[in-house]
Amino acid sequence: MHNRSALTWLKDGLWALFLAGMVVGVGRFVFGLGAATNMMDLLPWGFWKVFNMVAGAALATSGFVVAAIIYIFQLDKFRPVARFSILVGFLGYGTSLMALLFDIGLPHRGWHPFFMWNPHSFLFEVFWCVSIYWSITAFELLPIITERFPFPKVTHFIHEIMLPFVILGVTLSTMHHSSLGSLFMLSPTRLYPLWYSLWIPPEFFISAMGAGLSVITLLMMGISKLYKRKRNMGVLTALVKGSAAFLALYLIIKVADFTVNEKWNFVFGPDITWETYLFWVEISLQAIIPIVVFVTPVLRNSKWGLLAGTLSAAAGIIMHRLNTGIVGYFRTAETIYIPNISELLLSFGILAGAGLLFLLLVERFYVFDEPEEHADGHGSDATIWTREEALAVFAGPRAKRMLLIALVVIPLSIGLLRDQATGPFKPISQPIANSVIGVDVMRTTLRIDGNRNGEYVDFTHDKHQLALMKDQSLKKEETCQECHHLNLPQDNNTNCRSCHADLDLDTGMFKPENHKGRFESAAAFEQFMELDLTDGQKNLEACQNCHKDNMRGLTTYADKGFSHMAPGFKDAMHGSCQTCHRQRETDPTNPVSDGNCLFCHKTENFPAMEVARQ
Amino acid sequence: MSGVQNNDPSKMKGMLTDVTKCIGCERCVEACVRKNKLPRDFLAHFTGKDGLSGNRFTSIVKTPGPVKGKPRSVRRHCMHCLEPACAAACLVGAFTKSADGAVVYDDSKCIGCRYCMLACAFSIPRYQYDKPLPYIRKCRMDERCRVKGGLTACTSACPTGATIFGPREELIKEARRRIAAEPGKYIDHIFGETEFGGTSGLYISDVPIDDVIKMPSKDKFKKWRVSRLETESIPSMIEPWVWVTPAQFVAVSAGLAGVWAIKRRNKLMNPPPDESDEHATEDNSKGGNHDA
Repeated sequence: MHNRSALTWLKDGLWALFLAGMVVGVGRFVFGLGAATNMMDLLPWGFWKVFNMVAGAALATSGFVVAAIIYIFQLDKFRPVARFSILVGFLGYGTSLMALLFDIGLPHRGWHPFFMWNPHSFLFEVFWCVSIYWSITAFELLPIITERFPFPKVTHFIHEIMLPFVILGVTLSTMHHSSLGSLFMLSPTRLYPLWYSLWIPPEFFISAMGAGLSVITLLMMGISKLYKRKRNMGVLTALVKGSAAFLALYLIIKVADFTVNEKWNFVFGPDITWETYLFWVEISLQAIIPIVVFVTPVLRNSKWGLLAGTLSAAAGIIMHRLNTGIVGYFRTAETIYIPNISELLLSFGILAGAGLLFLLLVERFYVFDEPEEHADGHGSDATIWTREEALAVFAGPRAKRMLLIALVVIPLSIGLLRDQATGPFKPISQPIANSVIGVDVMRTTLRIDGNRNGEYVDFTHDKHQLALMKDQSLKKEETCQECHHLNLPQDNNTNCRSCHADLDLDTGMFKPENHKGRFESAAAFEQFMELDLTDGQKNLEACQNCHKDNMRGLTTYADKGFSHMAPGFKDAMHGSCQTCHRQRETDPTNPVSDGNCLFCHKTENFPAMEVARQ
Repeated sequence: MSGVQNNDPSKMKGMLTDVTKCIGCERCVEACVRKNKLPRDFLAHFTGKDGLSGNRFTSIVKTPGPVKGKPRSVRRHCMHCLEPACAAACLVGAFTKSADGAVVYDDSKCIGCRYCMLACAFSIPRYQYDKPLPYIRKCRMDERCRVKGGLTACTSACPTGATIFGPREELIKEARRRIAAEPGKYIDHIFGETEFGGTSGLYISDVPIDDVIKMPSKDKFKKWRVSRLETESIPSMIEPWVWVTPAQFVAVSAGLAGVWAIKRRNKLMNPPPDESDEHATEDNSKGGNHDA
């Protein structure tokens, strides 16, 4: 009998994952892709597409390979895995399409490619091939359902007309597996050369077939363990031998690719980067380890050897696809992408859903063409579900457990969604300058709160304006420098040394040794000398300790209505003054165009900034 | 190419940006935001350092460090390639290269697969990640952003004439003239003249800006083994593979049918006993009731 407890635990886990995934899926449609995923503009294809679609399709290759072997090459030896493989293909592609429904922005337009054609697009081809191929796998699997109903003629008829569909399915598979690789051929300057190549199509196609055969072996072993079935080692070893052949072919193509396109420098040096190490891990997992395991009879025939080899091949193909689709873009995108938890939950939630469907079909239908199953407890019943079983779904311990899972999982996964998709930068609608109430009808004094944080300055606009208009030789307290420290253009924190070039000269008056006596103690002087003053901010603070009076822009002027340190000159002009002046510029009654950038930036050769230097 | 009508490139318009003239005031950005009625949010989570996003079609990027003494401001916008990779990528043909040079995105066709974003060498198309039903957003350069005089809003807003709009060929002439007029000031190269098959967005500069506008330098093209893209477009580079597919369809299906026929014939000619023997030794094969 079945290993009930392990199976029950597995099913509960799958249900929990599936539920969590669906909650994230709903969240994606309510709050947007940004709330559920870490995808971004520079790495637009995230885990859902690259893992579920690109890698998922590669893992589910078994469906077409086995269909070709059995129906076309007519190797009857593999018949025991026929339905199983096609089912894996069907469910694998189903999960891919399901993930796409959440991933693409406007899934209700999923039918568009059927009517709006762009035959030059590789994705167009993938779309057509995958959707047709998926329908064909469904058709190939139809007998599993129909044979349980009393319409033998239907089942028979399906078998009769199967061949052309199998041929079409296999053909479409060869096309879309290479095209899945071609998708990445459009990023020659973005995808790292280790993964980019004009040879991607055959590489993807061959590696997918190799991996698909390994995956089907792995799943066969898992299912045998779970349901305590006898492993058919003859078929399994034959499958992995095929897998090894394809993987070896892949390795040969890869070697040829690197040789012809002269890319060995990325593999063996001198251009060794972190991508190189990743590539070595990938190629070892994907091809080298599996090939070694599968061609060594001792390892191939042992359970653990087989497990290690197939697992390595599966992990390797996933890694290859993720590297090609995501990681290879990191260097040019100058950023990295790590899927967030809710994103992973949906990815694996969909897989969990497919897993549940898979277990259901295994338990209730003849997924293995094995006669002794007919005598076994399940499957031979006339009805697919007994009345008791159906009722147990809604009542009994199982239903209670499901309720518990739902109560835990649903709030948890809602909590994982990001609440603020637009980021920390919210626009501020509050104006930066308000007149002082009661005094100021003529806008003589402006209360400026440039950062809108309650720190303000009462700026006597009229006085400054008059001074500026009357006379260019301003009194000391009327110059901008009096309050705003001058930064160099496009620099928020200019080092004192940038202007006071004599600061470090031995003969200069700024030479600290000359002022040793002004320091509190010899220790304080030593401490000062050890400061690294190349950093603008530290520099200012250090200078300010002594030169307080000469650096008034840095101090607070509570008595004059300042509540905080004044911003640098550029920030003050651009952040505060510009706001009103730009509005004035659009006013047709305004005679002076003092809002135009060129009003201050007079010369063409920015950044000279004569005005600021006065 | 689908999506690329065989228009006369000489009639196409473009934008020339002279990096030496840009003062980084971002009035082009503001004009774009106003003209296209874009939201003010920055979508900071999803953008790169260049500031383009689903809400920003153009932006000013400072060159990373002081080169030749001071950092420069470089305007980013859609390059409006002559043979756009996004148009080749889009599976529903939502991108078209219009007769006057703009690469135009059609909202009503898009299904949101974001393949254009992956295909664009300049990472121009951006996405509305904050919307439940998002669209691609990018610089338009069509009637929607023209102001009086037929200029684009951004170029008409530029106070220094650092970015100008006009027929592409004239812009190239103007760029050549500027480079020749002040020898030694500019790098003797018009960014976008031939790279990726030529783009309608053109740049001249006195410092290297290839990292900022994502247009690889000669060295990078060479190092990444894609030197042909210095003069060739991505769609034309991959064109041969597009035609492999239909051929593959015919060849593979015919081949499979042939194999099936031969195998079938062999099976019928050769004795069934062999086959049944083989099956008898195979413990679990043949479910018995459902073989073709």
